[in-house]
Amino acid sequence: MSSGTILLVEDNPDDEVLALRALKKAQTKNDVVVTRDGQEALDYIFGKGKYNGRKPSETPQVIFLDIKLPKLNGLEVLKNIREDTRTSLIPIVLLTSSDEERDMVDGYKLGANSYINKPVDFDEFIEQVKVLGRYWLGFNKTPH
Amino acid sequence: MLTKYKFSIKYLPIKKKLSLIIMTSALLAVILLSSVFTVYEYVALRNSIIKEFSTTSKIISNRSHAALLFNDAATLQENVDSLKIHDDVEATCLYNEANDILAFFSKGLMSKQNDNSKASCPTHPSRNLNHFDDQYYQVSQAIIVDNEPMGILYIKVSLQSLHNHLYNYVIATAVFSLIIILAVFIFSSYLQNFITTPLLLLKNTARQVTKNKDYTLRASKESHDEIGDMVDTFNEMLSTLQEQNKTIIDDAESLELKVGERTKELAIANQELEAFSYSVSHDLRSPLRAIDGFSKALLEDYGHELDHTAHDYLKRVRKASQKMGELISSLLQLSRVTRKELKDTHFDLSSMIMSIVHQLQEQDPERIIDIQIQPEMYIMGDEQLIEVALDNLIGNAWKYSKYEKFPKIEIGYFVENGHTVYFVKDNGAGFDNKYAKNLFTAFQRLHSPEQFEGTGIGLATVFRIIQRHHGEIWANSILDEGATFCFTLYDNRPQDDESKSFLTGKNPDIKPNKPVTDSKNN
Repeated sequence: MSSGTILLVEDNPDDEVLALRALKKAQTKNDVVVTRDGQEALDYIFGKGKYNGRKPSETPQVIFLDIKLPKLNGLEVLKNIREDTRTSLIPIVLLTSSDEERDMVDGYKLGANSYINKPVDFDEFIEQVKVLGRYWLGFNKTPH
Repeated sequence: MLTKYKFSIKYLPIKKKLSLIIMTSALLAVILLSSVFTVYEYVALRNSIIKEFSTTSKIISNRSHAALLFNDAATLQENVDSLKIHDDVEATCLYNEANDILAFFSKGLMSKQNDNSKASCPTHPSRNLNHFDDQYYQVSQAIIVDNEPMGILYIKVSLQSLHNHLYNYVIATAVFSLIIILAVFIFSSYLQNFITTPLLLLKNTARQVTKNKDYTLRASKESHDEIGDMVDTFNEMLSTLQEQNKTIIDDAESLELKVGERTKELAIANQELEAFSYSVSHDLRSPLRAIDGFSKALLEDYGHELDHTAHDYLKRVRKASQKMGELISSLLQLSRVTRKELKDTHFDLSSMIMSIVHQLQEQDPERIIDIQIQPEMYIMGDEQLIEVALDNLIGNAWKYSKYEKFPKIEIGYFVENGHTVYFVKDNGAGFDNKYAKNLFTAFQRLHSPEQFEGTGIGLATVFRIIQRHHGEIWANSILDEGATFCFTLYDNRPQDDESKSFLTGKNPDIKPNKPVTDSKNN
């Protein structure tokens, strides 16, 4: 497995803990950075605000992005990332508890790579994180 | 080729009709009257000639008595000549008893008295002649003295002057008649305006009303007769129309306003519902996820410190939260089914059913079920929604036949009285028919969750989908013998008595591709 950073954008502390647990259960060894709203996520990625000084070139290996976020929502974050050439190629997995088709279509339109509908059943969630983690962190080759 | 015009009084305008009637009547009257007068004049003239000459002949014959007795030819000639002064007398002849002419005169031959001139006198005069022919009136008078016939007086009168007179009379009458006809024409043309003008005004008003849909117009009343009454009635009718029209327009306006309001309200309600569904799917699920996730974490990380009961409780917590997750999903699906815009296409129902069955089989590979699917069923409808509906119906058949030893599911259609009915039939647990009407209400379940799990929303969703396709859905069953769900799309359900055989559910050998004709043949 690759050693890149995983960026988790999640405002709900419960979901954050569960996502981290799921990643642990999926046996990912990567560092995980957690940001709690859309603006913070963008600050981290572009090295602004409290992340001033961080190089935007050090892109995370993959971003797990919740759609429903305070300040800027996940789709807006996605749009910003895709519009910047430095970050436009970062793999982004949308996480949402909504199964509204609208969200999925909008997400893919804006260039999301995958879409996880967070299930209530935690076992299922772990299974999905495992599969996606392996894919985006392990086998998938991303250009640098 | 000449166009043939079929003339008919029917097509004449009323003004011409009236003229025609008046002129025909006047002409008839004038002709009849002139004819009567002419005939009367003729008869009167004839009578006056007869009277005049019978008197004249009597006078002459009386005057000739003595001359006859004494054979005085000169006196007789004088007597005869006395008639010369009468212009119309053509000839006068006096005979003796032996029919010899004793004296005579003949117009145009007065100078020469030869034998030829006697030709005007008949050789055998009748004793009592009184005769009219085309040109002459002939009269003869026997001369009787002391009861002894002494001779005959014969007078021939030309009718030329009578004819002239009559001719003039006819001409005068014709001229006079013409003047009368002309006068009638002028008068009637003027007088018929009293009838035609109000009628034309009424017609023009009616035409304008029809053309412009202007019900404020009124016909003016020109007369106080039947036409006047008609105008009044017509105007009353217009008033009624105007009122009704106003009511209709007002109603339509208020209806439009109401529809607009309702549409707005509906749009707001829909927006709210959408926002609600969205927030339900996000916000209600995350706490559930936390409950399930942390219960699982507890079990995994601290499982060894917990006793059997604690394990059981935590499992129940997880199961309950998962159940609620399913409920939320079902409710969201129901609301989505209601909101979704219909996109009708023509698609292969049979292959859709096969893929649904395939999925069910994948999830439950242990089950062995005899499944019969009518091949090549094509229907018109929203593919996504129909799939949700069939997913539910077939899923139910799958679920409720799980305790059956030889489970069997049949999916197909039949045509009954022109209605195409699709059905999903199983031989599973079935239900008591008296609860059939509750089946399609959300959260209504006829089985305990221990027996068959479920949310109670599936059939409500199916019902909504069929309803949105303007179809009907119904079900019937016998407890422990299986259930049959029938539905139509864009069609009505066949009448109850029509589909009795199917409704009893006792006809397991029904051939889905054949219409049921004999309802008593179970």
